[in-house]
Amino acid sequence: MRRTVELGFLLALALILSYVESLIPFSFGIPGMKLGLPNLIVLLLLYEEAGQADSEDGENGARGRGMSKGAREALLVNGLRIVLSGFLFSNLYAILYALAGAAFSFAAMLAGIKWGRLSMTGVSVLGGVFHNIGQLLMAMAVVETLAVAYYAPFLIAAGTATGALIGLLGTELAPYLRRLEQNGKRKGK
Amino acid sequence: MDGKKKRKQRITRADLAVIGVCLLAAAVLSVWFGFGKKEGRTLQISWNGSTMERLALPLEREGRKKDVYGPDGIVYCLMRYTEGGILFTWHAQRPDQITSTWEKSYNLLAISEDQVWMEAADCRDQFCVHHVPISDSADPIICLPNRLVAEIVEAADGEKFDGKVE
Repeated sequence: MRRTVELGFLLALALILSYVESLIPFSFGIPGMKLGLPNLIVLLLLYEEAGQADSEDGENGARGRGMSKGAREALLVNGLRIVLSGFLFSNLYAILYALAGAAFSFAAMLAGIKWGRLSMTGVSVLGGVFHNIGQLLMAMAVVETLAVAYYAPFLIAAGTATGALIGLLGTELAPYLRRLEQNGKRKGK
Repeated sequence: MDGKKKRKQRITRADLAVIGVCLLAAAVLSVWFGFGKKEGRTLQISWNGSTMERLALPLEREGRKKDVYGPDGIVYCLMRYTEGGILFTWHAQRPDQITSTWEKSYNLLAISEDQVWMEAADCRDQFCVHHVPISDSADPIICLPNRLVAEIVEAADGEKFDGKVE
């Protein structure tokens, strides 16, 4: 139950970040270019469990079979975030693009974490780049043209830059989230 | 707090490798697309993946440009989207006054003798409108919401303009 509340809290936070992002004109004339602020929440969820599992082995028994608990929670929160923010701040097509981007991004970040040699920054860069690649492929499918590929170099470079930024931000923020949770646990008992 | 768990993640060598590979991929792609760019003389407008117009630039009718272009040297191509279809009309002047009768969505393409740009569109993001005027094949104008692509292609087999300019 407690976890549900926490996830709801993070979902609200992700939604606010989506909204903030929709307010910032950051695209420099390149369609689909975004800061990727909500990915901060996905990153923190993916890493939160990894950090906990180090210290409290066994609590998260889901490790080892299929997707980890953190990964499933990240997927859930992000999926809900996309659908909600899509209906609130944009339209159905935007949801389609965002879902394609999120699916690619998520797969790439999971693979990056599995590889084990990347820090949060590297994983976030993979997420940013593959998010843009996913969106681009979706755009190709929707408009039925290869012309969209023209934007690929810009979007890959932009994904690298924003991914690195979000990754560094996540690295700074992760310890605070962990501390918040431990405080909560102490009080909750 | 618990100091032993405060192990901050430093940027690893693998991180830098990933960043390097991504930037390299972007650079290689942009150089590749840059080399592929050709001076084109044919304007191609596609909608929903199928080519709607393929016109030789500059537009002329029986060898006379004057019959096509308006007083500013621009001809406007208005594309309106109705149920499942697209409707082309050509205008010698920017069709401002008919705004109120435009259907729900539209694109207004401006065509000069050597450049093409999107003058207006109903979509929210306005990426196609902010796109710089195009004159070669490197850089298509794409309107994602209306699924419209206007590009200049290398092919020299563009058709003569035979539309009616209002």
